[in-house]
Amino acid sequence: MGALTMFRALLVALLVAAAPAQAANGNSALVSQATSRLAQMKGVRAQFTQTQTLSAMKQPLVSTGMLVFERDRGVIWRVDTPYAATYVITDAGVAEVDANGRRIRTKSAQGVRGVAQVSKMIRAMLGGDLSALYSQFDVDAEGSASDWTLGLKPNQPQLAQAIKGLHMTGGAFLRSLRIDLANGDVTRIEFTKSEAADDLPPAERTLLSAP
Amino acid sequence: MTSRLFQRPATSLWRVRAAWLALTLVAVLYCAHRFSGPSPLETNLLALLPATEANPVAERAVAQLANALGDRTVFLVSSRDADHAKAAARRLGSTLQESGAFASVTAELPPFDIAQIGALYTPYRFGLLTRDDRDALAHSSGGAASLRDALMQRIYNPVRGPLATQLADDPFGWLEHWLSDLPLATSNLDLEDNMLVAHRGDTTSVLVVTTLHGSAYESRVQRSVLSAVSQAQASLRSAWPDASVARAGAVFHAESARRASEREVHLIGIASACGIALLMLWVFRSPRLLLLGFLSTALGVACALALTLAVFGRLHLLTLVFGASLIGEAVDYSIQYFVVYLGAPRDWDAKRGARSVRPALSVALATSLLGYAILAWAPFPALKQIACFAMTGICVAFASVMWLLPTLLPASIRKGPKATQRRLFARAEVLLARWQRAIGGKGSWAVAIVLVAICAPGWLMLTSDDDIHLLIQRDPALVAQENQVRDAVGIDNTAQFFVVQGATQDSVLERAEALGAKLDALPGDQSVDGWRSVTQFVPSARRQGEDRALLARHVFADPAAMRATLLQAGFRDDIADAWIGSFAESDGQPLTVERWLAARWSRPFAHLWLGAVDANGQRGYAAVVMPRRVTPQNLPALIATAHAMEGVAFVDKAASVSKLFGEYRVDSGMWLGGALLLVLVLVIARYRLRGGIAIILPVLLAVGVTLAAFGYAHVPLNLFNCLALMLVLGVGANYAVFLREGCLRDGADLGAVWTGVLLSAATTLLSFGMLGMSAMPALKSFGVTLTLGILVAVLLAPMGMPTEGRKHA
Repeated sequence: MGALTMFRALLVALLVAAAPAQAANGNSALVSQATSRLAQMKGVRAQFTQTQTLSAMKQPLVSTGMLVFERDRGVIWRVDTPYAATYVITDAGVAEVDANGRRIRTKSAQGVRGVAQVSKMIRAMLGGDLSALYSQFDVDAEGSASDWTLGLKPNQPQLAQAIKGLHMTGGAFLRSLRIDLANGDVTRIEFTKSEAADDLPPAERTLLSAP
Repeated sequence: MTSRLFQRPATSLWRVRAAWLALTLVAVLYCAHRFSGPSPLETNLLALLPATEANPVAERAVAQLANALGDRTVFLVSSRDADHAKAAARRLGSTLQESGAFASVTAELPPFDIAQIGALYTPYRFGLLTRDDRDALAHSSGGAASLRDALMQRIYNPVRGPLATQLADDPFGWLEHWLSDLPLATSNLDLEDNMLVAHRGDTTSVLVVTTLHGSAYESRVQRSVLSAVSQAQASLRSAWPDASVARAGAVFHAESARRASEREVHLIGIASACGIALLMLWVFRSPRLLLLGFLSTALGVACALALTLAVFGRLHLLTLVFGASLIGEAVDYSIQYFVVYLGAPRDWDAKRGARSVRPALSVALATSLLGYAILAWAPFPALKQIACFAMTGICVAFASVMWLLPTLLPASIRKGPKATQRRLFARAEVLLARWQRAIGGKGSWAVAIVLVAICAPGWLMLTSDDDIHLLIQRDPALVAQENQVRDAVGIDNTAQFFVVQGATQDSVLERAEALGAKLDALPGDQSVDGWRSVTQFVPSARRQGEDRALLARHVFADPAAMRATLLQAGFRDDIADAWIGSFAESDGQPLTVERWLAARWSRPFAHLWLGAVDANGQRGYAAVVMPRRVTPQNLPALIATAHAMEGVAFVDKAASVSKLFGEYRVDSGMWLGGALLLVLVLVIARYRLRGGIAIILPVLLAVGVTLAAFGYAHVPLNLFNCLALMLVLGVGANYAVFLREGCLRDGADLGAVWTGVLLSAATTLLSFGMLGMSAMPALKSFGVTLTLGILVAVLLAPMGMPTEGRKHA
């Protein structure tokens, strides 16, 4: 059975906060530096602009919004335009919250067990264990700690059936992410105004802690 | 008289011996024939269980599920180093593959295109809706607006499942939702390097799945699997000492049960044989008598084995172990005969000796047979076998003492008791006289009253235990490994489930859907936390039709509006047209169970569909629904749910067996009373009223003392204790009978008779005492009860002697 990851948002969140301290020597050192800073941060907040180029669509779909990642709890992915919706991703699953804050769909982790898998991967990486990342991807890193590029190619055939590759750039935080799907669809996400978020506003805290 | 034996033509003597030799040969050759072929040992622990389900389909479901999972074995290779775990799993896989002991070994999965799952369902997608989507469509008031919202949520959702569908086929994501609801895995297994991997804590575990060449219950399969596994594990240990292997599978339980019982057979057989040999040598001082005693016993055991195999086909492990303990009982008859032989006056006549001991042995045989006959009455396959085995064994032993041993004990070789023996017998006689004076005659009532007074509080403290583990006990080490695998993989609960039946496939599916809805509605404590059912893969035709009608009503009623909604969301014209067109073109043929079963990936779930069944002459179909969580809190609700629905039954084999245990435990009290009455009638017929009561009193007290001992020791009483009490009655009565018959025999040496009784009791105690050390709870209960009961019965046996008995001596 294939356990493909539905990692977009989570992987994004993971690398948004990448803040290497110094120039890296060598590929794996750079990767570990790119992720090590995260361990010291409670969370990250950023604005995003997502451009989806889908074969079924007349033109690329552009959406903007905000992303909050809290290490211990999960991710809030809030779409502001063209359509207001909030997606809350935790170990328990994915919840969709409409503009009025009403939960309209909750998928347990049972239904989308990839969520738990990604969540585990992130936790492992935060602990400095990059083996989970390497077990799914061949990682290619270039540049310095303040300006780096990561190329991730799935090394698992099941994953490769869905994803061609990931391409990331960043410095202290992730700046851009490009996801190439196997069917030719491409998603690009640009991140701006990234900042460390140590304390979440109560509303966001509630979203993340609700079942 | 002395020479009568020799006056008869020697041919007659030889004819008897030859007949016995022929019987022996037939029995031994038949056993050898059966054991040289496929092993006749029944190692399937489930086969020990009686049929409990009134519904034959339910009984079949139990067997089918056990079989479906029975020929699979699962290994979990774990290490803190992920690479080591994977490398070790690969090595385990290849070693097991090379061993040839398995039909298939899967460590690395063959490339599997997950799109096959979506491909099966895509043509039927307009009839497949999740409950959420169905409710949303049926209850949405917004019409086009809410459809547009649904489209937006689908397009901008950052999370995609592993079974993501193409936007062009499934713009609203209804099929994707439906696919993600498929209960494909109950576990958190990930696919890495083509292996199924679970990460827990800092431990990485890799799954290796194998299937067997044959039944898990064949010794041949068990042996080759075990040797292959231990070899593979040894090679793993040297290469990756940090990797551990946990295993799960029926074959390991079956093998462990077989090995444990074979070990017990050897232990009980050898220990009781040696003990009996030493005792007999000590008392009789004659290797010849010892050999003859064992000859009679061996004949009994061999014939019992042959007849049981012939009647039942296969031999339960329980029977095998119990059979080993029969030695101690079967040897009793020859002991009694030897006592007469040694105590006889100088002009020994073997035939007359046999005749003089016949009444005692006949009464003893009759009471023992009665006890075992009641065992045969119980509806447990294993107990019927044990009864058949024991009855054959003691009948043959009895017959050999009556007719074979006399031909082998001619007067010419008799030397009479040695001096040491005489001293032994004399001491025994003194002891008996003193003991009888203390407890016999009028004193026996006083003893009885005192014993009852002592026992009464113990009886009040009696508790009971009807757990299924009395019959089926699993090796705790294996259970621990199995739990480890279960935690990582998630093995279904195959012990408690629903069976859904119906006249047609669709009625089964509809009933299963109704059952699922009822299970989902169970509140709080009663919740089953989800369930597995074939309807999660194939909804009923009616449900598919309803879903399609729902889409027709709410989505495709106005194709132009739908087209506008899709184009507004950004879909290309041709994509929108193609999707709307595909609904109109699809003919509404529902997905069928056959179509699903034909897909290769459905195989791991195929056991959910039982297929065509024949229940009480009515043809129909059946499926199982497996609740994820069954607890004492929700059990009554589950049973009530099944009761309230037509064609639905809740199967709980363990509970059914425990219930049966309990019922028979209570009933066995009545059987014991009946048996007691029968034995009483039997002994009164022979010894008159007073004698009869005196004979039955010791064994009655033995039953009472045994029960009280269980009460005082806080050992809960189970069915097997109660059944063993029948044997206490059957076997324990023998000693009083032997003593009384000894007193009635002309010129019998009472010391020798008492010595014989004690020797008989000692051999029986030795065998049943060993049985009491068995690891099988049922046999242990038998052994402990019999040991205790027989000990008391033999100690009190002098109560049954006639008060004027010594005058005969």
